[in-house]
Amino acid sequence: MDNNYLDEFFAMPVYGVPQDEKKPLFIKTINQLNQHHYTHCKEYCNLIKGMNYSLLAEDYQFQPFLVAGLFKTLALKSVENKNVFKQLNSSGTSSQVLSKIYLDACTAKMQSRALSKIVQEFIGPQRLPMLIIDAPDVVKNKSQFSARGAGINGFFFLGRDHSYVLNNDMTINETVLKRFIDKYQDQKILIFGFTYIIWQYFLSVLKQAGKGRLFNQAIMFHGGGWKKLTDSAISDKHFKQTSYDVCGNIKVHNFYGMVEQTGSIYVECEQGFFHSSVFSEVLIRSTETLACNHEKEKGLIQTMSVLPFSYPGHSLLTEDLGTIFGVDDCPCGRKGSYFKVNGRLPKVETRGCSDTFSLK
Amino acid sequence: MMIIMNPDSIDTLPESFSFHKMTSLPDERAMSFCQALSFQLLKDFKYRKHGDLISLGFWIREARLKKFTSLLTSDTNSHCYMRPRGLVFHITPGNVDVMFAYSWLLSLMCGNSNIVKLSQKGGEVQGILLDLIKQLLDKPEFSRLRNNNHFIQYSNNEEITRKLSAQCHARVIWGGDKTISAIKKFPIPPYARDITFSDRFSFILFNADAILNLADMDAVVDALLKDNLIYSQQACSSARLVIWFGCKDKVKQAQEKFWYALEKYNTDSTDLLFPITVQKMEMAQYLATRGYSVKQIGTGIFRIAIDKLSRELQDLHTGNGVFYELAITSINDIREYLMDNVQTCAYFGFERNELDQYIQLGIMDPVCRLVPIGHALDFDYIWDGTNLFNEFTRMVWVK
Repeated sequence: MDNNYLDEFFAMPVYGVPQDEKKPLFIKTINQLNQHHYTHCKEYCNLIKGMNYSLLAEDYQFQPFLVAGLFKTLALKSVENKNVFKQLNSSGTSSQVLSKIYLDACTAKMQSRALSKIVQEFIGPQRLPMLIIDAPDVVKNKSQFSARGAGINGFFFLGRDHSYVLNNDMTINETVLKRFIDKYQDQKILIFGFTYIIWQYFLSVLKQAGKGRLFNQAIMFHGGGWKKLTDSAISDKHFKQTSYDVCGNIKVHNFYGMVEQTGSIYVECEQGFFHSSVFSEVLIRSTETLACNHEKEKGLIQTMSVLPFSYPGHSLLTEDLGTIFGVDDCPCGRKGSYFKVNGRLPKVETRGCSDTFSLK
Repeated sequence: MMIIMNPDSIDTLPESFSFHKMTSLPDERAMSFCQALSFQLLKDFKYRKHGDLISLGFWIREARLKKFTSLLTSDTNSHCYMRPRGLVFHITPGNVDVMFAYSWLLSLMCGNSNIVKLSQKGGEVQGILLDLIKQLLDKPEFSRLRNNNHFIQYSNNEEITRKLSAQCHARVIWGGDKTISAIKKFPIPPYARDITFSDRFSFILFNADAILNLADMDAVVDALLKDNLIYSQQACSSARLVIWFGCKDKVKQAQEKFWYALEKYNTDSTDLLFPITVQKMEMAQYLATRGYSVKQIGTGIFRIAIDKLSRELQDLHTGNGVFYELAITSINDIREYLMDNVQTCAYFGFERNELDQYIQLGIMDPVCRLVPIGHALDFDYIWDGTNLFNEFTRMVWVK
């Protein structure tokens, strides 16, 4: 399979291709990726054979998928070790076990490029001054990023004058913040961070301190860490409202993504729905039977992306619950399937004479 | 009887256990209580829909109690008398709701006083049963039993566990392995004993010929589901492995016949027998990457061929509709697959005298129980290789 297989995708408008045009190309490409990984990744090959999956699917619902959790227990790669350019080790945001993602130079580049194309749909073509709501230590180890580090690294090239607004002890660096506000008072700025970090160490702190309306023209991208927020009973609405209160004139865009599929993130539109770009597609599957659900039926999210070339992460079943609301007809005007994320699948209680006593 | 929710009230429990309160064995009052409990469970319509409550009621029915009574009657011509142990502390499992009652009743029949720790993860049935027990214990004729038996619930309170462990004459720990390790950190008196039920693994043994000779597969399929559905294949006695016995061709045909019948049943059912969970799918895919072949039977039942059983494979098993599978041509070959933690062999197509032979020859070691398929979950006083009437009594030697 040619490294240039993504040229066609990069030539298309990110949210401008109707489903009947996108689908055949997308399915063809996923099928090619199935074959590619079958040939180059032994574990993937065994999996396809052992589960009796078909490499050629005529429609989305017939595409084989990997349970995303497998990247925690197995080292899945379709490149030789010498060609591994970067390894992402990420615990995600709600587990202690690390997922291991192997990128070659080409895949890393394509993921970065796709991310730029997607985000620029919202921020425009210019590199904006970027305020990173995190501490500099997060990106210290360049060969092994955490989920937070990977996110920041991915968005890095979309901005300039990168300023980390938190100290390594997670308190606000007043100097950095003040300098940033003063310098870019009348300019459009980009704010980036992980959802719960932004909430816990930036928004709530500033709100508590009575600070408000800090920026005149800002756009925020935030993702990940929703479980912690849900645990603290902070809703998306509350998060956004506090963002408006503290930041002033700001557009807030949540994004849904995972370390197992970086680059082709799903960004929340003005109407509050996550959108599939040309690079990705979602399916919702029943939590009982794994059959595909209809629109407006909540179920497990399966996410497909044409970007994972050096590792078999192109079709994954997550433990996230979601609902698709439609395709191509979102009121925001963008094409593509659009959906909401409803949280994580609750942990299954084990039954039987299992542990009756926990010391935790 | 007390149900203690507040750990501070633990001090109101009888601080020291008095042997003056000990009854003679067999304890007629305890037997009478069992009979009353059985009667309610089997008679009252509201318990009808709970299969495990009916099974419990059936287990302590009059005829069975007669047998238990005789087991607890000391032979005056012998040198031994059975006496109660004293105070027994039960730590009962989280998710098999009726288990606490089996543990408690056996000990009760042996004349012991009991403190039963109930799991907080217990479901509806645990509550229903406890209510009924309380109701019966409130009757005047059972006042002695009411005073000597307490049910307690608390979460992760080391102090209570430590205190109760230090006071008891016997401590029963109903699994799993981690729990046993954790509880054993709290010492029991040197003269006391621990009775533990560790993690177990169970299997089905099919005689291929017998399957092929069946005109109708319904009974076998029903039996398998009876053993596996109620606790989603998580109970230690539910089979997670199917061993086929017979010559290669017969086994192949029998497998097709059986799995087809199960698949058909699955399809015909209005309810999904076993949902496909992400954990189950992840397990299946993980094994597939390691070279195993996974066959999906209908929606949600996975068949995985193995050629060796290992602790790793046991630990990976998610339950909930997954069956490992292997075949043997000679019955001797079964020994290879019986690990130290094996418990139940649910069989089909074998005669009692055959099995007796195998047991005596040691072929089935260390299997704890061999029962016909459909009876894997039938609890009884001999469990995991232990005679609980022996465990819950002391033998007094007199000459």
